[in-house]
Amino acid sequence: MRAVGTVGTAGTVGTAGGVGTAGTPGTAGGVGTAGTAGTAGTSWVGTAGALTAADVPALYEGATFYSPAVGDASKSSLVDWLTELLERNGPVPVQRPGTLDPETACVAVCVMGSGSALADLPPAGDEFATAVEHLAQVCGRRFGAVYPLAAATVSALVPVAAAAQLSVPLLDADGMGRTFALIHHTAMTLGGLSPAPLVLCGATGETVAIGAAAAWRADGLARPSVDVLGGWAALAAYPSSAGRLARVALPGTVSRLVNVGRLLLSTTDADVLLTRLAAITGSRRVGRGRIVELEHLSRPSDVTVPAHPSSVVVDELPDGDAPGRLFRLELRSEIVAVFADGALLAATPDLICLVDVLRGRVSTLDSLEPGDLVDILVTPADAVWYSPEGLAMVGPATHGIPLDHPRRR
Amino acid sequence: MPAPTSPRRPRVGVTLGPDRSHAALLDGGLVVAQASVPGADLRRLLRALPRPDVDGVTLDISRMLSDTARSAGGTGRPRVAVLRIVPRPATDDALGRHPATVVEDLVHGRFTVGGGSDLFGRALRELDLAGAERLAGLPAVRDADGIAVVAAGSHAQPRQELAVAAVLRRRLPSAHLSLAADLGGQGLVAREATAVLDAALGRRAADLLDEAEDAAGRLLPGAALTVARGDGGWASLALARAHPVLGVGAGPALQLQGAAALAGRTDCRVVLSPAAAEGPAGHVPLGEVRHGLASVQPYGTADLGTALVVPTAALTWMPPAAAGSAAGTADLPLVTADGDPLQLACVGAAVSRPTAWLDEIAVIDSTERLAEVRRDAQERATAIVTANGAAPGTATVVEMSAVAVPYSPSGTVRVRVRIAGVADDRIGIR
Repeated sequence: MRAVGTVGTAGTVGTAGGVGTAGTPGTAGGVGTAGTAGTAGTSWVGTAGALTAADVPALYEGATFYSPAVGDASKSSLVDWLTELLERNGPVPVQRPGTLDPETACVAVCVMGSGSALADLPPAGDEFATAVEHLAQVCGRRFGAVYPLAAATVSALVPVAAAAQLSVPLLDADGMGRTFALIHHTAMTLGGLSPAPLVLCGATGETVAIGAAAAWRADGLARPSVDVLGGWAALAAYPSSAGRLARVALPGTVSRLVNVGRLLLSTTDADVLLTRLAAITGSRRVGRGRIVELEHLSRPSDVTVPAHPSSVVVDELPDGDAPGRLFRLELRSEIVAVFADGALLAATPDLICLVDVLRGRVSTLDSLEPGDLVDILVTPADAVWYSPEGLAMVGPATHGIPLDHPRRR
Repeated sequence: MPAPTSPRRPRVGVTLGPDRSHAALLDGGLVVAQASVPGADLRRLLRALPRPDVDGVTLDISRMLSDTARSAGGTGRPRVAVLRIVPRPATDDALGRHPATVVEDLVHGRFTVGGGSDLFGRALRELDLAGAERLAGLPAVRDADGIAVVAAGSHAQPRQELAVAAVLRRRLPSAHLSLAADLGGQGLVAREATAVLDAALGRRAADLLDEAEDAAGRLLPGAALTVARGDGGWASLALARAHPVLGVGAGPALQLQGAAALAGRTDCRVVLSPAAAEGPAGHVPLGEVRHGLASVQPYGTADLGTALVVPTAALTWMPPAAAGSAAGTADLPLVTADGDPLQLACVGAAVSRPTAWLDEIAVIDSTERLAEVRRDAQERATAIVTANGAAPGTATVVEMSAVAVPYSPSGTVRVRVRIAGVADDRIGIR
């Protein structure tokens, strides 16, 4: 395997974190206990040893389930690109952080910005590897593995492409287990790692390197550059060691994408699909109905968070003589809360998605229309997010919904 | 049983195909006559029908267009040059080409022109006009049957595509150009596929429509001739000539509408025959009809295996038993279409209406601004459908949505509107 970047001194990177103490973020499960996710998560079997070209369609579908934010406009070209890369360069080994030499330097990779922007300004192909190599120069160390900052949406595919291009393994772990709005909303941050130094590389070929005094400053410093680069950029961030990531990253989050994706590809019958998803993800359907309204600017807006608040109203189908409930879904890039007749049913960090009943597939949030018949599906997030620190970072209050999380009542 | 929205005056729906063509005459919403002929002989087909005072003829040429697009490798293959305007060329071949074989087989030459804009139309790089000038002199561009021009961000700011088109028109005055900005929609790869097909099908569509105009003019001299669109609506002859890609993939949408009309429904789910479209073996396609028009979506693959920005019927493929049980999960009646797919397509064409579709990105900072954006989109779509043959004042919103674009700057919305009207009997070939 070819190591990446320049030769330099290994060591800790970043300005915000101490070394070694992972911390225990609350009652819902420990951080870094491989394979377990506490009371709210799911144990996984069948961990992938490698990703091959044949896995790409399932990887894409699974990534859509864990973040339905991005539509299909870039699907064919990204799937085609990654498939060809894996055919050309061979399978990408997928390893838990704990199976690598603890000193192996690792770097997180993702798409920062909008999937719609990515669809209209496709990558030239070298952005992700360039971002990693540039960060290696900044850090003065070789990276021996890459991992997804968020193993969901297109951000689950691009680390595989980077690993294939750089001939390094991919970690079976990530920082979110889904996607959250800001790049410091990660288990790594909770564990004391900083996103910075970080490097952005745009489709224009331009790069931006950023150092940040604190983890929460990184997103604010990076996002204006993303806009200038065309609305999306390849991000390389969270340089760390495999040993550290074994304690703070969320394990098994790449393997499960393929498992869930295969399931999603196996049927177009929504009832069959939901039963199977429940069995392997712990998801549950909270209702079925037709979208009757899409609203915008429906809550106070914090401009530091991408996408403005919007709402979707779903009229539940009646059950016999019983009238249906009125669901109100609050959106902010993801679905952040579901109310049923005014009562909070589920909220971030729960993974909330809609399944198109007619088509038996996840509805992407940029293509919803009044009249669509949808199932509302709620899946527990990784346990770390239900800790007090996790909820303070990504709970409903961070989206202007100052209510106790239903799982904490 | 006539559908509640069926036209009351006689109308003819026709589907032309390389193997068989079919026509149905509807009067008062009922099928009163049908005809079928081998090949694509419209004159013979119309002669076989009784010819009362027909109000209009809607022609589905989607099977002929698909046949032309798929003839890649044959002697009659259209050859298209693609000019992609982006900040820099792809570094990986897989990203430099189109992922769909049907598109790539039509591409005679593929070139990058430096330029491109972001989602909001802000330039990312100065347009390389000198590069466009050089490309215009290359044989692969000069000798192409059509030239497709697609720029990053052109749905928001078409200026760079227009500038390159001006160079091409000056250097190659007889070239057939298709600009992606004219076709709208999100996603450069899907816009490129749409523009390539549009450029490739120009000559074939012109020949077909010339022949059809002549045949209909002789045999149905009072009837307005229109062309079925992929979304199940229809377009004027002028629009179909300018952008033949609008007619691609019309078959399934027409069949959905035809089945609903024959069942007397305006809102229903429809299980089509497996022969309705290409799909997995042992499965049947399931779609919806709302307000008498097929439920559609962009990025459908029609039957060509490539995602397009122009909408086509939203179909789900299911095992027959599962499709039947879908009725139990829905709040809509289920219609099973067990008739001849070509007959259903003809009925769907005869009951179709002029339609228009917009899919755009806008920025809002208040609910008032959102209302303005929606109103503006609705007015422009209404103008398009009226220019396309709808009687003034008849345009109604079939679907309209504005959704926040995830992970984009606050206030970014995707606005989609679909408008349908009622035929204006002053257009066409009268």
